[in-house]
This record gives sequence, C-alpha cells and structure tokens, in this order.
Amino acid sequence: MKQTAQFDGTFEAWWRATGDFLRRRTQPTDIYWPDPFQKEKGLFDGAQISAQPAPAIRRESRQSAATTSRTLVKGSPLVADTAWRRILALARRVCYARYPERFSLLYRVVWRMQHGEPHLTDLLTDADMRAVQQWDGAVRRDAHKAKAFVRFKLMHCDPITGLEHFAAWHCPSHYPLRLVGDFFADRFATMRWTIFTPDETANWDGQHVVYLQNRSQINKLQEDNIESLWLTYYSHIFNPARLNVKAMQREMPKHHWQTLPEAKILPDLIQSAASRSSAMQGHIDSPAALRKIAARRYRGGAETTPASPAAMDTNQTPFTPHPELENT
Amino acid sequence: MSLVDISVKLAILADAAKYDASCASSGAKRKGNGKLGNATGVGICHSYTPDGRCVSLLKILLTNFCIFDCVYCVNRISSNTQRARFTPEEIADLTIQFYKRNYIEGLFLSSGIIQSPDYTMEQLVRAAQLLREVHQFNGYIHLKVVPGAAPNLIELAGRYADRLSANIELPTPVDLSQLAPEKSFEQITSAMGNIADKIQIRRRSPTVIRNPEQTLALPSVEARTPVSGKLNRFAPAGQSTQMIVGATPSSDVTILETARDLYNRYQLRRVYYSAYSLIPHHDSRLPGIAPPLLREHRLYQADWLLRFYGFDLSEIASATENGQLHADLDPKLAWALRHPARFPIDINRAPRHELLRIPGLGARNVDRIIRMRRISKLRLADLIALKVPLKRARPFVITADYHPSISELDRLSTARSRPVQQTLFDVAPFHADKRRS
Ligand code: SF4
Repeated sequence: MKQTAQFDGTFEAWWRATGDFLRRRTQPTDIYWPDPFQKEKGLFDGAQISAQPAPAIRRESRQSAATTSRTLVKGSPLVADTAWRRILALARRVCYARYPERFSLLYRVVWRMQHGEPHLTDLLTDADMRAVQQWDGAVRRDAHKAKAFVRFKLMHCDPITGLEHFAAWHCPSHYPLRLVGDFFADRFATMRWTIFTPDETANWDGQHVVYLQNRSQINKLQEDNIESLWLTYYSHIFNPARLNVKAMQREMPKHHWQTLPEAKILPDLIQSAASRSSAMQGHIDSPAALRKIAARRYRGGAETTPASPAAMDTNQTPFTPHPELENT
Repeated sequence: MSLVDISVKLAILADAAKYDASCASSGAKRKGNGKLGNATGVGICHSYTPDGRCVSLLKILLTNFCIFDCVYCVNRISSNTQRARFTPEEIADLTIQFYKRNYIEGLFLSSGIIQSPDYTMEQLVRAAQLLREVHQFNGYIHLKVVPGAAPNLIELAGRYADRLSANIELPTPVDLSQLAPEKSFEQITSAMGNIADKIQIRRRSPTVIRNPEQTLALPSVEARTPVSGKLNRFAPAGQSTQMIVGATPSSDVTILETARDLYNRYQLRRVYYSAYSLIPHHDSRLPGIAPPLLREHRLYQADWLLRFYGFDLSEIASATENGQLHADLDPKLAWALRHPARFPIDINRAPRHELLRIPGLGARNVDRIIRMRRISKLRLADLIALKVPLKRARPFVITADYHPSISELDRLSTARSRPVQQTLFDVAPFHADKRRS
C-alpha cells in the first residue's frame, strides 16, 4: 500500500516529510507525493501556509538538513556534507517546478544517495540528476524572470502617513513566488506590496511576507499614470537600426507580454523601426554645412527657439523636429 | 512640471542616451537595510527592447546640450537635433517612481557638456546626492565622469555612485583627435587613473563606512570623514569605459590592444565595444555604413579570452587577417585551427588551463568536467549531456571512447579558408548582464 505524503508543497515541508520517510526506510516506490499546488487536490486551498519571516525558515531548514544528514548516515556509505548541500540547494528550487513528479524525483535522488550512491550529485549525466538539473534551471530562470518582470502599480497612498501600497499581476511558468519573496521584501521594504499569480499570492505588510495558495484571476489592475512615462522611455531607449526581434523574444517570451505594460506598444515599435532607421540615414550633412550650423549656434541665431526655459543657460539651438520624434 | 513636459524631455534625453552600451547594473551587492532599494551583485534585465538589448537602468542624459563637437555624436554642437534638459530633482523623482514599480535597477546618468566640465559634473553629482540623501535610495547608480572635471567632484561622485565611467570613445589618440577635437586621450586616461587610485586606496584599507553623512549642503570632499577618520565608500562596482568600433579604420587588434592596456592600468571592470551607429544628421567624415554587429560580438569574445581564458593578445592576433578578427569563426576556434599541434587535448587528464583552450568549451563546462572526471572517465556521450557543441569541439578532444584522427584536424585546418555562411541574426547578441563584470 502506498503512503501519501502529508505536506504543504513547500521545500521545508518536503524536506521534513523526506526525513521521516528516510528514517522509516520507506522505498521511493511506496510513497505517493501529491502536488499541493494543483487545484484538483484542493488540500490547502486558501490556507495560510507560512506567516513566519522568511529568514527564520531558512535557519530552521539548515538545521534540519544537518541533523538529518547526521542521523541517516549510519549503515550506508557516508554522504559528504558538500553533497548534501548540493542536493538541498537544488531541491530548494526544484520543489517549485510545475511538474507533479518533482517531489518523488527528489526523494528518489536522496534515497539513492543514502543507499550506495553518495556521489550521485556529481554524476551530472545520470538520468535522475539530469532531470533535477534541468528543472532547477527552469525554476531558476523563472524566478529570475519574476524578479525582472513583476510590474507594480500604485493602488493606494495613505493621505496621512504617505504609505504607498503597490500591487502586481504576474504569470510565471512555475511557482517561483517563495523563492523571490525575500528579494522583494528587501528591495521594497519601505512600500507595502502584493504580488498576485494564478496559483499563489505574496503580501508584504512591512514585517513579513505572507504566502497564500489561492487561485486568482486578475485581468486588469487600476491604471498607474507613471506607466505612460515608462512607455515613453521604452520606445526611445532602443536603436531602431539594430532591430533584433528574435533576441528580444528569446529573453522576453510572449507569455509574459500579457503582464508587461511595454508589450502593448511592442508591435508598433517593431513595425516603425525600419522607417525610423532610414530617417536616421537620410540626413548626411557635409562638414561645411555642419560648420555653418555650429557657427550660427555660437552666435545665437535669430531663428532659434529654446527647448525649455531651464535650458537658457546653455547655447540656444535651431528648432527642427527630430526625425525620430515624428513617429511618436 | 507636468507629466507631459517630463514625457517630452524624457523622449529626447533617452533618445540621446541610447548609443551608450554600458548599461549593466552589476558589481555592487548590498542589502536594502529598510531603505528603498538594494543591489544584488549580478543586475537584472527588467525588459528587452526590440533591438534585443536589456533594459536594466534608467539610462538618460541630464541634458543633450553640448558645447563639444564630437563628429560621431548625435549631441555635438553642430547637430541639428532637438534639445532638452532635466533638473537633478526631476531625475531623482523619475528614478524613484520607476524603481518603485520595478521597471529598473537604478540610474545611469550621463550628460552633454554644458558651460564647463566642472559645472556639468556638479549637476550629475547633485542628482545622485538627492537620490541617496533625500530619497534614501539604496539601488544602483552609475555616473558618467566628465573628463576634465575636478578631482574633488570625482571624489563626491564615487561616494554616491556604484560605478563610474569615463569613455575612452575611440581606439587611438589619433582617431580621437580627428573625430573629437576637444577631447584628448590624456585627459580621459587621467580621469581613469584618478578613479583607479581612489578605488585602490579603499582596497588596501577595508574600513569603508557605508553611508555618507546626512546633510544636504555639498558635503566635505575629503576621502576620510573628519570624525572617525574612516574612508568613505567609493564606487564599489568599479569603473568601466566604452569604445566606439568602426567609426575609424583602426583594426580589431588595435582595439584589443587599447582595451588590454586600459584593463591593466586602470583595473577596469569592463570595456564596452559599441558598433558605430548611423546617427541623424551624420557627418560625411564618418563611414556611410555601420559596421556589422557581428564585429562587436567577436570583440567581446576576444576580450573574454584575454581576461578569463588565459589567452595572450599575440595569440589572438596570430589568428587574425590584417588585424581583423575572423567573421566566420569565433576567435578561439580560429586560434585552434592555426595551432593544430596543441591538440587533441585529453578531457580526462588535461589541466584546467588546457581545457579552456578547447573550442566550444566554456569555463562553466570546464569546471563541470573537472568535477565529473574525479568519479568516472568521461565519454563523448557525457559531453553531449553537458550540451557541448560536438561539431566544434570533437576534432580537438580525446575522451575515454574517442580519439580524433590526425587527418581530421588537418582537414579542418585547410577547410578553414572556405567560409561558413552565418547570418547576422544567428549570432546571439551580447547581453551585458549575463556575464561577469
Ligand atoms: S562631449 Fe559627449 S555629448 Fe558632447 S559631443 Fe562629445 S560625445 Fe557628444
């Protein structure tokens, strides 16, 4: 009879459950690992999983790793500390891969390390280890993209304290929230923020990051007027003469476009790049013509218009529309 | 200032800043400590523009007004471009607003030269000071150093900024005097030397205090605080520079020579190579066509071989034609084909520095191979599992189950003259943040 693992799907809980199974010498094939992140199971739906500050969790799991490795080595070849550290570092991420078999895979690897294959983590060509490595890479990339592509919008600013609450809607490929919560808490400590994803939510109240495993579906957060400045910046910071859509899409895959404000204007920018870059090449001035412009500038010619009052303390400039500005 | 006014200025000043490639936000690591912002050490690309480039920092000019006349630059005084100017306050506000929405890692601020180098530098420092002291901003700041600015302004810039850079602009003093008559190699390298010295002093005495005193008046510019006698922080992410490629006939080897000297003399974290790009109203003294982007890519590859793979410039030069890197072969492969006697190399035995010479083998895979071969001998299948491009690497390696025939290497060396077609867009563009800096 298969035993069903009781755990909430976090790395910490998986590791505790793994320790229990290993102590009881439960074979990998005798365990059923459910996927608590999948709605169908519904086990922890809407349950508040961990309200502890993240650093505490980290300390605890490091301790349990140490004790487990000490209690388990009896009777089987010694698994070196470095090997433990390596597999735990991998498991910390692989637990958040969107593959239902991830927990059983990780348990099988740890089991094999305990039963005659202490060097398994160095065998990068072993099929199990390769899957672990691959999924680790996938989650790592996904967590990195979450740090990069989460876009906060200002939801509310307290008129008295000035405290600002921001929210973001992000659609990752895996479940990277718990891997990036600390990063956002550290970087945006002075704000209050909530990150919604289709599978879970992270909320920072100024003290703790609280994670909720609930399904949300948010299509539109309210408008944030700074966003229009961001779009202005985005459309002017690239060089249309170097258009390389393939490279852009490789790094910014289409499935993220739905939550990136700048993606709205991407098709237009790509389309107009050719005409913008040929407008840049159409203007070739001879040295004589250029000297004339410069001379006129030094004299402060009559037809000049200052671009802004703040610019008055420098030389004035003839005002002709920038060829690239005509497209905006 | 209304949002619309800011938006108009932003459009002009981002446009004017887009030719600078050195936008990486790497090299500084610090916690948020309850302030707004931190630095993760590697830098994050928050977006990618249609040219495939990473958007990591708010990269703008304080102003594109400029009293200089550098031929290759869209902001030169003789250019017929629209001008604008931000105040330091506007720049600080914009940075904070963008940062809070997770659009950027921080600010990269540069400027055209207005009035004088000192006045311009003061304005740049002021924006950084506002960010650090008024907004308590703890994210990344990269400031451009204006050559000719007073050393005390550079001291202040380094106190607020994570990275400083003075652009060398062109590969040789002659190139520079032709295309940027008001600039001199000497002035630029003396600014670099100044920065390098200040960084060096901090390296030797590690008692750096993290935060400058909280005052809004221009603070004292002494390197040591009067009270504790400790050194103030100074550009923890070091300095970088940028070189424009293809605006003058200087060869790749000349370019790499200058880069190597700058790395050695001023301990630069990075030299950026920026393919000369046609600019609006461009001067007829410049080439009418931009160099292929592939040239940039090959230079970065060669730069990497020099710094992380133990290659000597003379070795790289030995595999060039008239000083130009091969367009169809990456520089490591080109070198290997010129030196068949150094191969094949035994994957299971060779020391690290020899493994690094194998075409198609990156430093990361070399380290993995060294780890794996302690446990069992490696075979070709293991290299495939590591995603080593076998087509490139196979003729150069010996594995437990494979030994290339001598004729295989010979054939390759002679086939070299037949170019391999490679389209420009098959080449991955260079992503600054992916690599060490
Ligand atoms: S000093 Fe700088 S901004 Fe001015 S023209 Fe030269 S390169 Fe351009």
